[in-house]
Amino acid sequence: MVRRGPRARVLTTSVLVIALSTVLAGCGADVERQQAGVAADTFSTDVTTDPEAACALLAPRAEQAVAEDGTSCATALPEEDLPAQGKRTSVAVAGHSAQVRYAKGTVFLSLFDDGWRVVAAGCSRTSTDPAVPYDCVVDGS
Amino acid sequence: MTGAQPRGFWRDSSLSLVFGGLLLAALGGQAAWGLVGYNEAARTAGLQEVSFLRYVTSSGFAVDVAENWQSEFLQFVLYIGLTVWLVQRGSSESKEPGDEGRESDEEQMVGEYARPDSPAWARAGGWRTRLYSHSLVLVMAVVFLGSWSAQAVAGRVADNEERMRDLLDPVGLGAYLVSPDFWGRTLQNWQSELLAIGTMAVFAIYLRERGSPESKEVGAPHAVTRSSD
Repeated sequence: MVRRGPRARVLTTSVLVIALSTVLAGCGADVERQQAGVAADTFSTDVTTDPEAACALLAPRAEQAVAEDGTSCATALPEEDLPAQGKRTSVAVAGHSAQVRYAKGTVFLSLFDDGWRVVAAGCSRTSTDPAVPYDCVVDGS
Repeated sequence: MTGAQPRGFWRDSSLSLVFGGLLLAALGGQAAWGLVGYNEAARTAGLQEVSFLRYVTSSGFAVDVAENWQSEFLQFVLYIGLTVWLVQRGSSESKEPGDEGRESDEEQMVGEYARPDSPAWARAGGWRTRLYSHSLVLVMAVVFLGSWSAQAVAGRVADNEERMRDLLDPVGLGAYLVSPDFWGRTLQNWQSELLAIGTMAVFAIYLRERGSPESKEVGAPHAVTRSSD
């Protein structure tokens, strides 16, 4: 039987810890992508079926932007011209920000203590310059 | 000669221990002030503030640390490597002009010229001595490349977090590696390290710090490169 020295054990443990951390980080990223996608899907559905629930998924600034002029968010949101988004095509997450793309629109989200909330919705590109931000129907950025 | 007599771990390692302590204190300060800055930006944007633990495990903190580490280790790779072949007359940081190069086995105490207490791989000969002869630069280079890679990976995530906050598309790693954010972070650190090490090489010709091994003796002439030799 080959006896390994303390240095070999430290090396093996370090490699295992790094490998495990990498796997866990990958799993964590997958979970966050999934949760951001579900939050965006739920918001898109609730806008027409349950505006109050949709408003609860908005970030505070976005909710304020919708509820301008003394109208409640739940009343004003269905009046916003949010287009039908179509099928979800991709989800990108980086830190506390996420972008969920649909066939006909894009939603931006931010992570809060109680989960992902929508910062901007009904977004589309108005310029080919990648430095120009999306133009959004609901914009709480 | 007093240097040969061990005086206990703490006294004999005071330089490393003090720098280790200062490193931890500076990292702690960077984390604390970085958290304040991150949360101020979050409040400005009406977004969620984060805890200390969440901040120190974030890509934003990682890229800020890694961008400085990579440049420090690059500085040592360049300085250790270039001072084999390049000299600065009068500088205590340089070899004597005329001594450029790898030097003989006898001067380097390797192979048959090794002392009884030389490191085993200096005595071993073959690939082990060749590898050990460059171990300092190799390890510094590995840490540099590791830190620079970590800067790229963490920097991309931190940049994408801001980009999506600004309603822009995130970028892939390839696009990030040619982005202003990556090269701005990289080059601003490189230029400061090169300035520091270049001025050290030149200032050491004319200026002195009594008692420091990084300086020539106070009375050593400016033209003498290594006064203690």
